[in-house]
Amino acid sequence: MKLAIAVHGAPYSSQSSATALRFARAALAAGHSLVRVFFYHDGVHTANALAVPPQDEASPLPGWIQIAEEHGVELAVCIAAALKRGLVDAAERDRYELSAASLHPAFTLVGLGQLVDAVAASDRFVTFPA
Amino acid sequence: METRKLLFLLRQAPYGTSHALEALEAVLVAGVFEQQVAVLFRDEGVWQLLDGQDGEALATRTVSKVLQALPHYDVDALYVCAESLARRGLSVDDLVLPVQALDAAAQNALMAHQHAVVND
Repeated sequence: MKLAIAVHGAPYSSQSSATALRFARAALAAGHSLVRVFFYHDGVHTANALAVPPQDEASPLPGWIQIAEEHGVELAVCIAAALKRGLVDAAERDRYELSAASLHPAFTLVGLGQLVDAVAASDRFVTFPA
Repeated sequence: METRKLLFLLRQAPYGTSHALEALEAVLVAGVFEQQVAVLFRDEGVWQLLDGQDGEALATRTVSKVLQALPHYDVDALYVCAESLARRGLSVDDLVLPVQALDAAAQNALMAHQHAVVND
């Protein structure tokens, strides 16, 4: 089955991203494919490469990077939601003359059309709310 | 992109967080991409429909004005949970747009006919 996932909650303040990651791993292990993982609302904070979590709190970020590398899963971040929260890639850093790029390179900034496309192209669309 | 029947479930209050406005952006974009979009307002989300809103005091957009743009994006299948309205002392006459109130059985039937339900 073709699945798409939306992550709406920020890591550390919400279980959304960690639960979505476990679901993604289980779905891939069961032989399903992942059309796209779409990070929206505060879920975009998952892609923050500049976060420094305390040692006793697990970050979902390495797990997302791992399934992107091992399974070619697309990690898509809503650009409008990301920019206003300070999540920028190198291109946006240069465009807005900011001091740093904060988006981990495993993630891609995309428009909301990619959310609609993920819903339309998948058999099941699963949202992990904040 | 294939044309699909998509139901957006909006359950969050219009102010206090940016959630409602961001969720509405996704609804508008689905309309732009010519999906067959329906919207169901439930729980605290019914407050988004209340007439007489003004976001200016909060330096934010007025959610009901964004809602009034939906028909211009060919999003005109608008539904509201009848029980969510009643529990908050509201009726369809208090709302900014013509929406159809549905009981639980009708909501189940609506969801059953979608390619996907997009939760907010």
